[in-house]
Amino acid sequence: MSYRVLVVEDSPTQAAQIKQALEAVGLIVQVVADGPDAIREAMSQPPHLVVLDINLPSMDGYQVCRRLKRNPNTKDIPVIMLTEHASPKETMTGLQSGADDYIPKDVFAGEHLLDSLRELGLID
Amino acid sequence: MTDQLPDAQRIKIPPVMMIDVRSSTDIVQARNIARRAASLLNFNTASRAQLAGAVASLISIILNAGQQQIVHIHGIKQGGQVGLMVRCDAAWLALNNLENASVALKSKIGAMMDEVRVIAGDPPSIEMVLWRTPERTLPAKPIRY
Repeated sequence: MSYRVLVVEDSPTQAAQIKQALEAVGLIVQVVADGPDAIREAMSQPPHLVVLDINLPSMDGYQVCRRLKRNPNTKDIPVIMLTEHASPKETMTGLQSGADDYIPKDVFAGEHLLDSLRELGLID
Repeated sequence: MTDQLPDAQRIKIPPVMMIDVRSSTDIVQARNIARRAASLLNFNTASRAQLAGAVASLISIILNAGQQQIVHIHGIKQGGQVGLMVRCDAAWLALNNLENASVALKSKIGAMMDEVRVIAGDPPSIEMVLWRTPERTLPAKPIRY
């Protein structure tokens, strides 16, 4: 079975990199660039995973995550925050908003993302 | 979380890891080591992120104090409970009121760890523990479709 991942990232360059990394492990990837689009898309066609940036136009990633986790139709979709914000406060805000993982965009980000996908059962 | 039992009843268990903190570039490596340690003890992904954030924060404190330090991360068992302990010497606290230092440390890291303590000694040391509760244990959230 191929799992679908919704990537929410407003930087086209970073979105392309994440898409490429996820497609390389056999996942089907859809990219949206802002929060409202992400929520709409998750509601209409629930993905198996949301990979979420924090800095988004109009609504930040924390708000998007909270909305997804509050909605009965989307609350069980795992959310991984992939972000440049790595302070303890931001990490806790991300996890408290309901994220299943919070991965800073550093040199180990790709490795940690794959670990997380494995734990979620999306890849072997 | 866990009843405070005497430290003697705490047993050190694998994994046993060390981070040699010398500069801010070590923070990234430290986060990675912390996540690996938590993974080996079957913590879920959110708890790994939480532990990694706490370790990164501790290292920032060490570096801000102008110190170079070894940070130890290891498993810990107390009765039926398993957790991860992070500890390091804190020579820079020797001249401080340790109670105040403990309060300051808890305000910075306390939300991420179950226990944060400054222990008197020569030198003083910092110990933090994150216990593995059922909510923090894999599988985090099974996929249900």
